[in-house]
Amino acid sequence: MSDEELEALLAEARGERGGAGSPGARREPGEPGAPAPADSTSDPGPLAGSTSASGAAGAPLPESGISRLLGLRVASHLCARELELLRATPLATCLLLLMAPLAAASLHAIFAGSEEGVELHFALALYALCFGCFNSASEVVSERALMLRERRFGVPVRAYLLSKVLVGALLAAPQCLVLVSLADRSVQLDAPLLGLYIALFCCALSGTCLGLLVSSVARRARALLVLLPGVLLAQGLAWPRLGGADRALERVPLDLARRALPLRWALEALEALRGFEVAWLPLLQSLAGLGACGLSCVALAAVALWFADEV
Amino acid sequence: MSPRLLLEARDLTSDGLHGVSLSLKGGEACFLLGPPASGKSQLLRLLAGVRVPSEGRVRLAGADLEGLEVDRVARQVGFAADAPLLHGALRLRSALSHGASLRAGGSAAPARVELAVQRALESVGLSERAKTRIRRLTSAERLRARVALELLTEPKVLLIDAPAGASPAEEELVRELADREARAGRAVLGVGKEGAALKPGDRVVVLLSGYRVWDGALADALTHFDLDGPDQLLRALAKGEPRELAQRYRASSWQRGEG
Repeated sequence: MSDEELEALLAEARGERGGAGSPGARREPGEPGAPAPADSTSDPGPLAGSTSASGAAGAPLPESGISRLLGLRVASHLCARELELLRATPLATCLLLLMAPLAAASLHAIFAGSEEGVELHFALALYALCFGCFNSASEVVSERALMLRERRFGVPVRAYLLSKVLVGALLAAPQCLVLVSLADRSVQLDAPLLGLYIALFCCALSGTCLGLLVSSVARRARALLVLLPGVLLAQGLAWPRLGGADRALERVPLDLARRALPLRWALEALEALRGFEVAWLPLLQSLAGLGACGLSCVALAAVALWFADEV
Repeated sequence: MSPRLLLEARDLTSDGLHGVSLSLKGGEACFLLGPPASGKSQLLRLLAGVRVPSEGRVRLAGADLEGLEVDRVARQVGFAADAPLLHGALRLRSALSHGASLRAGGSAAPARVELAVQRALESVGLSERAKTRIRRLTSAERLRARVALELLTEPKVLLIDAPAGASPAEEELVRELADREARAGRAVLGVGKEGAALKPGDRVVVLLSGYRVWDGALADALTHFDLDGPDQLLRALAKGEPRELAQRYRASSWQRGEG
Protein backbone atom coordinates (compact mmCIF):
# COMPACT_ATOMS: atom_id res chain seq x y z
CA MET A 1 0.00 0.00 0.00
CA SER A 2 1.42 3.37 -0.94
CA ASP A 3 1.76 6.21 1.53
CA GLU A 4 -0.93 8.16 -0.35
CA GLU A 5 -3.39 5.28 -0.10
CA LEU A 6 -2.63 4.88 3.58
CA GLU A 7 -3.20 8.57 4.16
CA ALA A 8 -6.53 8.34 2.36
CA LEU A 9 -7.59 5.37 4.48
CA LEU A 10 -6.53 7.11 7.65
CA ALA A 11 -8.41 10.21 6.61
CA GLU A 12 -11.47 8.09 5.99
CA ALA A 13 -11.10 6.50 9.40
CA ARG A 14 -10.73 9.87 11.03
CA GLY A 15 -13.94 10.90 9.38
CA GLU A 16 -15.71 7.86 10.84
CA ARG A 17 -14.38 8.76 14.23
CA GLY A 18 -15.69 12.30 14.07
CA GLY A 19 -12.40 14.05 13.39
CA ALA A 20 -10.54 12.75 16.38
CA GLY A 21 -7.34 14.30 15.16
CA SER A 22 -4.04 12.96 13.99
CA PRO A 23 -3.81 9.21 14.37
CA GLY A 24 -1.14 7.56 16.38
CA ALA A 25 0.15 10.74 17.95
CA ARG A 26 -0.68 9.54 21.43
CA ARG A 27 -1.01 12.72 23.43
CA GLU A 28 -0.48 12.98 27.13
CA PRO A 29 -3.62 13.23 29.24
CA GLY A 30 -4.43 16.84 29.84
CA GLU A 31 -3.13 18.02 26.49
CA PRO A 32 -5.68 19.54 24.15
CA GLY A 33 -7.38 16.73 22.23
CA ALA A 34 -5.68 14.06 24.30
CA PRO A 35 -7.29 10.60 24.17
CA ALA A 36 -9.44 9.61 27.05
CA PRO A 37 -7.77 7.40 29.62
CA ALA A 38 -7.89 3.74 28.79
CA ASP A 39 -10.10 3.00 31.74
CA SER A 40 -12.78 5.12 30.20
CA THR A 41 -15.01 3.54 27.60
CA SER A 42 -15.30 6.66 25.48
CA ASP A 43 -12.33 5.77 23.20
CA PRO A 44 -12.40 2.04 22.73
CA GLY A 45 -10.04 2.22 19.75
CA PRO A 46 -10.48 1.85 16.02
CA LEU A 47 -11.16 -1.88 16.17
CA ALA A 48 -14.00 -1.49 18.62
CA GLY A 49 -17.39 -2.13 17.11
CA SER A 50 -15.93 -4.80 14.84
CA THR A 51 -15.80 -7.53 17.38
CA SER A 52 -18.19 -9.98 18.85
CA ALA A 53 -17.82 -8.31 22.20
CA SER A 54 -18.69 -4.91 20.86
CA GLY A 55 -21.75 -2.91 21.43
CA ALA A 56 -24.26 -1.73 18.87
CA ALA A 57 -21.99 0.82 17.24
CA GLY A 58 -20.37 -0.57 14.11
CA ALA A 59 -21.88 -3.99 14.55
CA PRO A 60 -20.09 -6.78 12.69
CA LEU A 61 -21.23 -7.54 9.18
CA PRO A 62 -23.78 -10.33 9.15
CA GLU A 63 -22.42 -13.77 8.36
CA SER A 64 -24.62 -16.57 7.11
CA GLY A 65 -25.12 -19.73 9.14
CA ILE A 66 -22.85 -22.12 7.22
CA SER A 67 -20.18 -19.45 6.86
CA ARG A 68 -20.27 -18.79 10.57
CA LEU A 69 -20.27 -22.51 11.33
CA LEU A 70 -17.08 -23.04 9.34
CA GLY A 71 -15.60 -19.70 10.33
CA LEU A 72 -15.19 -18.81 6.65
CA ARG A 73 -14.73 -15.07 7.18
CA VAL A 74 -11.85 -15.57 9.58
CA ALA A 75 -10.53 -18.47 7.50
CA SER A 76 -10.28 -16.19 4.47
CA HIS A 77 -8.12 -13.78 6.49
CA LEU A 78 -6.00 -16.66 7.70
CA CYS A 79 -5.62 -17.92 4.11
CA ALA A 80 -4.47 -14.47 3.02
CA ARG A 81 -1.83 -14.53 5.75
CA GLU A 82 -0.75 -18.05 4.78
CA LEU A 83 -0.36 -17.03 1.14
CA GLU A 84 1.66 -14.01 2.18
CA LEU A 85 3.88 -16.29 4.23
CA LEU A 86 4.38 -18.57 1.23
CA ARG A 87 5.44 -15.56 -0.81
CA ALA A 88 7.64 -14.26 1.99
CA THR A 89 9.52 -17.55 2.22
CA PRO A 90 10.25 -18.36 -1.45
CA LEU A 91 13.07 -20.78 -0.67
CA ALA A 92 10.95 -22.94 1.63
CA THR A 93 8.05 -22.83 -0.84
CA CYS A 94 10.31 -23.83 -3.73
CA LEU A 95 11.77 -26.71 -1.72
CA LEU A 96 8.27 -27.99 -1.03
CA LEU A 97 7.37 -27.77 -4.72
CA LEU A 98 10.66 -29.40 -5.71
CA MET A 99 9.66 -32.56 -3.86
CA ALA A 100 7.48 -33.51 -6.83
CA PRO A 101 10.16 -33.61 -9.54
CA LEU A 102 12.52 -35.34 -7.11
CA ALA A 103 9.88 -37.98 -6.41
CA ALA A 104 9.28 -38.39 -10.16
CA ALA A 105 13.02 -38.79 -10.70
CA SER A 106 13.19 -41.57 -8.13
CA LEU A 107 10.16 -43.23 -9.76
CA HIS A 108 12.01 -43.06 -13.06
CA ALA A 109 15.12 -44.61 -11.51
CA ILE A 110 13.17 -47.50 -10.01
CA PHE A 111 10.32 -48.17 -12.42
CA ALA A 112 11.50 -46.81 -15.82
CA GLY A 113 10.15 -48.97 -18.62
CA SER A 114 8.28 -51.32 -16.31
CA GLU A 115 4.55 -51.83 -16.34
CA GLU A 116 2.14 -50.49 -13.81
CA GLY A 117 1.81 -52.68 -10.75
CA VAL A 118 1.08 -52.58 -7.08
CA GLU A 119 4.67 -51.54 -6.34
CA LEU A 120 4.29 -48.47 -8.54
CA HIS A 121 0.90 -47.68 -7.01
CA PHE A 122 2.40 -47.94 -3.56
CA ALA A 123 5.24 -45.60 -4.47
CA LEU A 124 2.92 -43.07 -6.13
CA ALA A 125 0.50 -43.04 -3.21
CA LEU A 126 3.29 -42.85 -0.64
CA TYR A 127 4.87 -39.90 -2.43
CA ALA A 128 1.54 -38.08 -2.63
CA LEU A 129 0.93 -38.73 1.05
CA CYS A 130 4.42 -37.44 1.87
CA PHE A 131 3.77 -34.25 -0.13
CA GLY A 132 0.75 -33.49 2.01
CA CYS A 133 2.43 -34.46 5.28
CA PHE A 134 5.57 -32.44 4.63
CA ASN A 135 3.57 -29.43 3.40
CA SER A 136 1.66 -29.17 6.66
CA ALA A 137 3.70 -30.91 9.36
CA SER A 138 5.39 -27.78 10.66
CA GLU A 139 2.39 -25.51 10.20
CA VAL A 140 0.80 -25.67 13.64
CA VAL A 141 3.79 -26.44 15.84
CA SER A 142 5.79 -23.53 14.45
CA GLU A 143 3.10 -21.00 15.33
CA ARG A 144 1.52 -22.69 18.29
CA ALA A 145 1.89 -19.71 20.64
CA LEU A 146 0.46 -17.35 18.03
CA MET A 147 -2.48 -19.62 17.24
CA LEU A 148 -3.36 -20.21 20.89
CA ARG A 149 -3.18 -16.47 21.57
CA GLU A 150 -5.43 -15.69 18.60
CA ARG A 151 -7.84 -18.38 19.74
CA ARG A 152 -8.46 -16.25 22.84
CA PHE A 153 -9.58 -13.41 20.57
CA GLY A 154 -12.25 -15.63 19.07
CA VAL A 155 -10.34 -17.03 16.09
CA PRO A 156 -11.91 -20.50 15.90
CA VAL A 157 -9.62 -23.50 15.66
CA ARG A 158 -11.77 -24.88 12.82
CA ALA A 159 -11.12 -21.76 10.74
CA TYR A 160 -7.44 -22.03 11.48
CA LEU A 161 -7.28 -25.68 10.39
CA LEU A 162 -9.47 -24.99 7.35
CA SER A 163 -7.06 -22.31 6.16
CA LYS A 164 -4.15 -24.71 6.58
CA VAL A 165 -5.93 -27.42 4.58
CA LEU A 166 -6.81 -24.97 1.79
CA VAL A 167 -3.25 -23.71 1.49
CA GLY A 168 -2.01 -27.31 1.69
CA ALA A 169 -4.33 -28.13 -1.22
CA LEU A 170 -2.87 -25.23 -3.15
CA LEU A 171 0.59 -26.71 -2.76
CA ALA A 172 -0.45 -30.31 -3.34
CA ALA A 173 -2.26 -29.54 -6.61
CA PRO A 174 0.89 -28.67 -8.62
CA GLN A 175 2.94 -31.29 -6.81
CA CYS A 176 0.57 -34.09 -7.83
CA LEU A 177 0.29 -32.67 -11.36
CA VAL A 178 4.06 -32.74 -11.77
CA LEU A 179 4.28 -36.22 -10.25
CA VAL A 180 1.62 -37.71 -12.55
CA SER A 181 2.84 -36.00 -15.71
CA LEU A 182 6.50 -36.91 -15.16
CA ALA A 183 5.66 -40.44 -14.06
CA ASP A 184 3.62 -40.85 -17.24
CA ARG A 185 6.73 -40.14 -19.29
CA SER A 186 8.89 -42.77 -17.64
CA VAL A 187 6.46 -45.50 -16.66
CA GLN A 188 3.74 -47.19 -18.66
CA LEU A 189 0.75 -45.95 -16.70
CA ASP A 190 -2.24 -48.15 -17.28
CA ALA A 191 -4.86 -45.72 -15.97
CA PRO A 192 -6.62 -42.50 -17.02
CA LEU A 193 -4.32 -39.65 -16.06
CA LEU A 194 -7.09 -37.40 -14.81
CA GLY A 195 -8.39 -40.13 -12.53
CA LEU A 196 -4.86 -40.85 -11.35
CA TYR A 197 -4.34 -37.18 -10.62
CA ILE A 198 -7.58 -36.89 -8.66
CA ALA A 199 -6.80 -39.99 -6.60
CA LEU A 200 -3.28 -38.80 -5.78
CA PHE A 201 -4.50 -35.29 -5.03
CA CYS A 202 -7.04 -36.68 -2.58
CA CYS A 203 -4.28 -38.78 -1.06
CA ALA A 204 -2.09 -35.67 -0.70
CA LEU A 205 -4.98 -33.80 0.90
CA SER A 206 -5.42 -36.63 3.35
CA GLY A 207 -1.68 -36.42 3.99
CA THR A 208 -2.06 -32.69 4.63
CA CYS A 209 -4.64 -33.45 7.29
CA LEU A 210 -2.41 -36.15 8.76
CA GLY A 211 0.47 -33.66 8.88
CA LEU A 212 -1.75 -31.15 10.65
CA LEU A 213 -2.69 -33.78 13.22
CA VAL A 214 0.97 -34.57 13.86
CA SER A 215 1.75 -30.85 14.05
CA SER A 216 -1.08 -30.24 16.51
CA VAL A 217 -0.04 -33.08 18.78
CA ALA A 218 3.63 -32.07 18.82
CA ARG A 219 4.38 -29.46 21.46
CA ARG A 220 7.80 -28.68 20.01
CA ALA A 221 9.24 -28.86 16.52
CA ARG A 222 11.73 -31.50 17.64
CA ALA A 223 8.88 -33.90 18.34
CA LEU A 224 8.18 -33.96 14.60
CA LEU A 225 11.44 -35.85 14.13
CA VAL A 226 9.83 -38.81 15.89
CA LEU A 227 6.16 -38.39 15.08
CA LEU A 228 6.40 -37.79 11.35
CA PRO A 229 8.53 -40.83 10.47
CA GLY A 230 6.33 -42.82 12.84
CA VAL A 231 3.08 -42.09 11.04
CA LEU A 232 4.70 -42.53 7.61
CA LEU A 233 6.29 -45.86 8.52
CA ALA A 234 2.93 -47.03 9.86
CA GLN A 235 1.56 -46.62 6.32
CA GLY A 236 3.59 -49.70 5.43
CA LEU A 237 0.75 -51.73 6.93
CA ALA A 238 -1.28 -50.71 3.89
CA TRP A 239 0.89 -52.89 1.67
CA PRO A 240 -1.60 -55.34 0.18
CA ARG A 241 0.68 -58.40 0.28
CA LEU A 242 1.72 -58.56 3.89
CA GLY A 243 2.37 -62.31 3.63
CA GLY A 244 2.68 -64.07 6.97
CA ALA A 245 1.75 -60.97 8.80
CA ASP A 246 -1.74 -61.18 7.29
CA ARG A 247 -2.67 -64.02 9.61
CA ALA A 248 -1.63 -62.03 12.60
CA LEU A 249 -3.66 -59.15 11.30
CA GLU A 250 -6.69 -61.41 11.05
CA ARG A 251 -6.22 -62.75 14.54
CA VAL A 252 -5.99 -59.36 16.13
CA PRO A 253 -8.38 -56.79 14.73
CA LEU A 254 -5.60 -54.76 13.16
CA ASP A 255 -7.56 -54.77 9.95
CA LEU A 256 -9.57 -51.97 11.50
CA ALA A 257 -6.38 -50.03 11.97
CA ARG A 258 -5.57 -50.49 8.29
CA ARG A 259 -8.83 -48.77 7.45
CA ALA A 260 -7.49 -45.69 9.23
CA LEU A 261 -4.50 -45.57 6.88
CA PRO A 262 -4.90 -43.10 4.00
CA LEU A 263 -2.41 -45.12 1.97
CA ARG A 264 -4.68 -48.14 2.03
CA TRP A 265 -7.56 -46.15 0.49
CA ALA A 266 -5.23 -44.53 -2.03
CA LEU A 267 -4.04 -47.96 -3.18
CA GLU A 268 -7.63 -49.10 -3.58
CA ALA A 269 -8.40 -45.98 -5.61
CA LEU A 270 -5.44 -46.60 -7.91
CA GLU A 271 -6.43 -50.24 -8.27
CA ALA A 272 -9.95 -49.17 -9.22
CA LEU A 273 -8.51 -47.02 -12.01
CA ARG A 274 -6.31 -49.75 -13.45
CA GLY A 275 -6.78 -50.84 -17.06
CA PHE A 276 -8.68 -47.75 -18.20
CA GLU A 277 -11.90 -49.44 -17.10
CA VAL A 278 -12.82 -47.45 -14.09
CA ALA A 279 -14.54 -49.40 -11.32
CA TRP A 280 -16.66 -46.49 -10.17
CA LEU A 281 -18.08 -47.89 -6.96
CA PRO A 282 -14.75 -49.02 -5.48
CA LEU A 283 -13.21 -45.76 -6.68
CA LEU A 284 -15.82 -43.64 -4.96
CA GLN A 285 -15.61 -45.80 -1.84
CA SER A 286 -11.86 -45.37 -1.65
CA LEU A 287 -12.05 -41.62 -2.27
CA ALA A 288 -14.66 -41.42 0.49
CA GLY A 289 -12.27 -43.41 2.68
CA LEU A 290 -9.52 -40.89 1.97
CA GLY A 291 -11.93 -38.08 2.83
CA ALA A 292 -12.94 -39.77 6.05
CA CYS A 293 -9.29 -40.26 7.03
CA GLY A 294 -8.62 -36.57 6.36
CA LEU A 295 -11.66 -35.37 8.27
CA SER A 296 -10.82 -37.63 11.20
CA CYS A 297 -7.30 -36.23 11.33
CA VAL A 298 -8.58 -32.66 11.27
CA ALA A 299 -11.14 -33.43 13.97
CA LEU A 300 -8.46 -35.01 16.17
CA ALA A 301 -6.17 -32.03 15.52
CA ALA A 302 -8.96 -29.69 16.59
CA VAL A 303 -9.44 -31.71 19.78
CA ALA A 304 -5.70 -31.59 20.50
CA LEU A 305 -5.65 -27.83 20.03
CA TRP A 306 -8.83 -27.39 22.03
CA PHE A 307 -7.09 -28.81 25.08
CA ALA A 308 -3.77 -27.08 24.43
CA ASP A 309 -2.67 -24.49 26.96
CA GLU A 310 -1.63 -21.04 25.90
CA VAL A 311 2.03 -20.16 26.40
CA MET B 1 -11.20 11.72 41.02
CA SER B 2 -8.85 8.93 42.06
CA PRO B 3 -7.79 6.48 39.32
CA ARG B 4 -10.02 3.48 38.92
CA LEU B 5 -8.84 0.10 40.20
CA LEU B 6 -8.55 -1.93 36.98
CA LEU B 7 -6.92 -5.20 37.97
CA GLU B 8 -7.03 -6.81 41.33
CA ALA B 9 -5.57 -10.17 42.30
CA ARG B 10 -6.23 -11.67 45.71
CA ASP B 11 -4.29 -14.54 47.31
CA LEU B 12 -3.34 -16.19 44.04
CA THR B 13 -2.06 -19.69 44.55
CA SER B 14 -0.97 -21.80 41.63
CA ASP B 15 2.07 -23.78 40.47
CA GLY B 16 4.90 -22.03 42.28
CA LEU B 17 2.86 -19.10 43.58
CA HIS B 18 1.83 -18.74 47.22
CA GLY B 19 -1.02 -16.36 48.03
CA VAL B 20 0.15 -13.45 45.90
CA SER B 21 -2.01 -10.32 45.92
CA LEU B 22 -1.63 -7.35 43.60
CA SER B 23 -3.72 -4.41 42.48
CA LEU B 24 -3.25 -2.04 39.55
CA LYS B 25 -4.98 1.29 38.95
CA GLY B 26 -5.50 3.08 35.69
CA GLY B 27 -2.51 5.24 34.81
CA GLU B 28 -0.23 3.25 37.08
CA ALA B 29 2.96 1.43 36.07
CA CYS B 30 4.25 -1.33 38.29
CA PHE B 31 7.33 -3.48 37.87
CA LEU B 32 7.50 -7.11 38.80
CA LEU B 33 10.97 -8.17 39.88
CA GLY B 34 12.37 -11.53 40.78
CA PRO B 35 15.09 -13.99 39.94
CA PRO B 36 14.47 -16.68 37.31
CA ALA B 37 11.80 -19.23 38.31
CA SER B 38 10.36 -16.94 40.98
CA GLY B 39 6.88 -17.15 39.43
CA LYS B 40 6.80 -13.89 37.48
CA SER B 41 5.59 -15.39 34.19
CA GLN B 42 3.12 -17.63 35.99
CA LEU B 43 1.68 -14.59 37.78
CA LEU B 44 1.31 -12.78 34.45
CA ARG B 45 -0.54 -15.79 32.99
CA LEU B 46 -2.96 -15.77 35.91
CA LEU B 47 -3.51 -12.02 35.61
CA ALA B 48 -4.10 -12.36 31.86
CA GLY B 49 -6.63 -15.12 32.43
CA VAL B 50 -4.56 -17.61 30.47
CA ARG B 51 -4.37 -19.90 33.49
CA VAL B 52 -6.80 -20.33 36.33
CA PRO B 53 -5.43 -20.16 39.87
CA SER B 54 -6.03 -23.10 42.16
CA GLU B 55 -6.91 -20.56 44.86
CA GLY B 56 -7.63 -16.86 44.86
CA ARG B 57 -9.24 -14.73 42.19
CA VAL B 58 -8.52 -12.00 39.68
CA ARG B 59 -10.94 -9.13 39.07
CA LEU B 60 -10.91 -6.91 36.02
CA ALA B 61 -12.57 -3.53 36.65
CA GLY B 62 -14.51 -5.13 39.47
CA ALA B 63 -15.68 -8.20 37.54
CA ASP B 64 -14.40 -11.68 38.29
CA LEU B 65 -12.16 -12.78 35.42
CA GLU B 66 -13.64 -16.28 35.39
CA GLY B 67 -17.09 -14.90 34.76
CA LEU B 68 -16.07 -12.83 31.74
CA GLU B 69 -15.98 -13.99 28.12
CA VAL B 70 -12.52 -15.13 27.09
CA ASP B 71 -12.28 -12.76 24.13
CA ARG B 72 -13.38 -9.82 26.24
CA VAL B 73 -10.61 -10.54 28.74
CA ALA B 74 -8.10 -10.92 25.90
CA ARG B 75 -9.10 -7.54 24.48
CA GLN B 76 -8.94 -5.74 27.79
CA VAL B 77 -5.85 -7.36 29.24
CA GLY B 78 -3.01 -7.10 26.75
CA PHE B 79 -0.38 -9.75 27.42
CA ALA B 80 2.89 -9.17 25.60
CA ALA B 81 4.25 -12.62 26.43
CA ASP B 82 7.79 -13.71 25.75
CA ALA B 83 6.70 -15.97 22.90
CA PRO B 84 6.76 -15.85 19.08
CA LEU B 85 3.43 -14.10 18.59
CA LEU B 86 4.25 -12.68 15.15
CA HIS B 87 5.41 -14.46 11.99
CA GLY B 88 9.10 -13.71 11.52
CA ALA B 89 8.84 -13.84 7.73
CA LEU B 90 6.21 -11.10 7.49
CA ARG B 91 6.82 -7.39 7.45
CA LEU B 92 5.90 -5.71 10.71
CA ARG B 93 3.01 -3.65 9.35
CA SER B 94 1.58 -6.62 7.53
CA ALA B 95 1.84 -8.93 10.56
CA LEU B 96 0.11 -6.35 12.73
CA SER B 97 -2.58 -5.78 10.11
CA HIS B 98 -3.36 -9.49 10.02
CA GLY B 99 -3.38 -9.52 13.81
CA ALA B 100 -5.76 -6.57 13.92
CA SER B 101 -8.11 -8.09 11.33
CA LEU B 102 -8.26 -11.38 13.19
CA ARG B 103 -8.77 -9.68 16.55
CA ALA B 104 -11.71 -7.86 14.99
CA GLY B 105 -13.27 -11.12 13.84
CA GLY B 106 -12.44 -10.41 10.22
CA SER B 107 -15.13 -7.74 9.94
CA ALA B 108 -13.21 -4.50 10.56
CA ALA B 109 -12.98 -2.00 7.73
CA PRO B 110 -9.46 -1.82 6.25
CA ALA B 111 -9.20 1.84 7.24
CA ARG B 112 -9.91 0.97 10.87
CA VAL B 113 -7.32 -1.78 10.76
CA GLU B 114 -4.75 0.61 9.27
CA LEU B 115 -5.55 3.18 11.89
CA ALA B 116 -5.15 0.71 14.73
CA VAL B 117 -1.84 -0.50 13.30
CA GLN B 118 -0.58 3.04 12.76
CA ARG B 119 -1.47 4.00 16.33
CA ALA B 120 0.18 0.93 17.78
CA LEU B 121 3.35 1.40 15.74
CA GLU B 122 3.65 5.01 16.78
CA SER B 123 2.99 4.14 20.41
CA VAL B 124 5.99 1.84 20.55
CA GLY B 125 8.17 3.96 18.26
CA LEU B 126 8.40 1.47 15.40
CA SER B 127 6.75 3.45 12.59
CA GLU B 128 9.98 3.68 10.66
CA ARG B 129 10.52 -0.09 10.88
CA ALA B 130 7.02 -0.92 9.64
CA LYS B 131 8.27 -2.38 6.38
CA THR B 132 11.00 -4.48 8.00
CA ARG B 133 10.58 -8.23 8.24
CA ILE B 134 10.11 -9.23 11.86
CA ARG B 135 12.99 -11.69 11.82
CA ARG B 136 15.28 -8.75 10.95
CA LEU B 137 14.21 -6.72 13.99
CA THR B 138 16.49 -6.59 16.99
CA SER B 139 15.46 -8.29 20.20
CA ALA B 140 14.41 -4.93 21.68
CA GLU B 141 12.41 -4.08 18.55
CA ARG B 142 10.68 -7.44 18.74
CA LEU B 143 9.68 -6.61 22.29
CA ARG B 144 8.25 -3.32 21.04
CA ALA B 145 6.45 -5.24 18.26
CA ARG B 146 4.87 -7.62 20.76
CA VAL B 147 3.62 -4.67 22.77
CA ALA B 148 2.29 -3.06 19.58
CA LEU B 149 0.35 -6.26 18.83
CA GLU B 150 -1.35 -6.04 22.21
CA LEU B 151 -2.08 -2.33 21.81
CA LEU B 152 -4.18 -3.04 18.71
CA THR B 153 -7.23 -3.66 20.86
CA GLU B 154 -6.55 -0.68 23.17
CA PRO B 155 -6.47 -2.80 26.34
CA LYS B 156 -7.19 -1.33 29.75
CA VAL B 157 -4.44 -3.40 31.32
CA LEU B 158 -1.09 -4.17 29.73
CA LEU B 159 1.24 -6.91 30.94
CA ILE B 160 4.75 -6.84 29.48
CA ASP B 161 6.96 -9.88 29.94
CA ALA B 162 10.64 -9.20 29.33
CA PRO B 163 12.49 -11.63 27.06
CA ALA B 164 14.34 -14.47 28.77
CA GLY B 165 17.85 -13.27 29.47
CA ALA B 166 16.87 -9.67 28.84
CA SER B 167 19.73 -7.21 28.68
CA PRO B 168 19.74 -4.11 30.92
CA ALA B 169 18.78 -2.11 27.81
CA GLU B 170 15.74 -4.33 27.30
CA GLU B 171 14.75 -3.94 30.94
CA GLU B 172 15.05 -0.20 30.47
CA LEU B 173 12.83 -0.55 27.42
CA VAL B 174 10.17 -2.38 29.43
CA ARG B 175 10.24 0.51 31.88
CA GLU B 176 9.99 3.08 29.07
CA LEU B 177 7.05 1.29 27.42
CA ALA B 178 5.30 0.75 30.73
CA ASP B 179 5.63 4.41 31.71
CA ARG B 180 4.40 5.55 28.33
CA GLU B 181 1.32 3.35 28.35
CA ALA B 182 0.57 4.26 31.96
CA ARG B 183 0.56 7.92 30.97
CA ALA B 184 -2.10 7.01 28.39
CA GLY B 185 -4.28 5.77 31.22
CA ARG B 186 -3.60 2.04 31.20
CA ALA B 187 -2.66 -0.07 34.18
CA VAL B 188 0.69 -1.58 33.25
CA LEU B 189 2.71 -4.36 34.81
CA GLY B 190 6.21 -4.81 33.40
CA VAL B 191 8.51 -7.66 34.28
CA GLY B 192 12.17 -7.22 35.05
CA LYS B 193 14.93 -9.37 36.40
CA GLU B 194 16.94 -7.01 38.56
CA GLY B 195 15.43 -3.57 38.40
CA ALA B 196 18.65 -1.67 37.83
CA ALA B 197 16.80 0.51 35.33
CA LEU B 198 14.16 1.57 37.83
CA LYS B 199 13.91 4.89 39.65
CA PRO B 200 13.42 5.32 43.41
CA GLY B 201 9.80 6.37 43.05
CA ASP B 202 8.80 3.42 40.84
CA ARG B 203 6.40 0.90 42.29
CA VAL B 204 7.90 -2.57 42.39
CA VAL B 205 6.53 -5.95 43.35
CA VAL B 206 9.23 -8.46 44.27
CA LEU B 207 8.62 -12.18 43.98
CA LEU B 208 10.90 -14.76 45.56
CA SER B 209 10.13 -18.45 45.07
CA GLY B 210 6.49 -17.56 44.48
CA TYR B 211 6.13 -15.36 47.58
CA ARG B 212 5.45 -11.63 47.35
CA VAL B 213 8.11 -10.15 49.57
CA TRP B 214 7.59 -6.52 48.61
CA ASP B 215 5.01 -4.26 47.00
CA GLY B 216 5.70 -0.55 47.06
CA ALA B 217 8.12 2.16 46.03
CA LEU B 218 11.62 1.03 45.21
CA ALA B 219 13.11 3.63 47.58
CA ASP B 220 10.99 2.25 50.43
CA ALA B 221 12.12 -1.28 49.59
CA LEU B 222 15.72 -0.20 49.95
CA THR B 223 14.90 1.33 53.33
CA HIS B 224 12.90 -1.71 54.44
CA PHE B 225 15.66 -4.15 53.51
CA ASP B 226 18.44 -1.74 54.52
CA LEU B 227 20.14 -1.64 51.12
CA ASP B 228 22.15 1.02 49.31
CA GLY B 229 21.05 0.54 45.69
CA PRO B 230 18.48 -1.30 43.55
CA ASP B 231 21.15 -3.55 42.08
CA GLN B 232 21.63 -5.07 45.56
CA LEU B 233 17.94 -5.85 46.04
CA LEU B 234 17.60 -9.32 44.58
CA ARG B 235 21.06 -10.46 45.66
CA ALA B 236 20.32 -9.45 49.24
CA LEU B 237 16.86 -11.03 49.21
CA ALA B 238 18.19 -14.27 47.73
CA LYS B 239 19.97 -14.90 51.03
CA GLY B 240 16.71 -14.77 52.98
CA GLU B 241 13.94 -17.31 53.43
CA PRO B 242 11.13 -16.24 51.03
CA ARG B 243 8.29 -17.22 53.36
CA GLU B 244 9.80 -15.28 56.24
CA LEU B 245 10.48 -12.27 54.03
CA ALA B 246 6.86 -12.35 52.88
CA GLN B 247 5.63 -12.51 56.47
CA ARG B 248 8.00 -9.70 57.43
CA TYR B 249 6.59 -7.55 54.63
CA ARG B 250 2.97 -8.29 55.60
CA ALA B 251 3.71 -7.40 59.21
CA SER B 252 5.46 -4.16 58.28
CA SER B 253 4.04 -0.68 58.06
CA TRP B 254 4.94 -0.73 54.34
CA GLN B 255 2.18 -3.24 53.63
CA ARG B 256 0.12 -1.89 50.75
CA GLY B 257 -3.61 -1.56 51.09
CA GLU B 258 -5.24 -4.24 48.91
CA GLY B 259 -7.86 -2.52 46.82
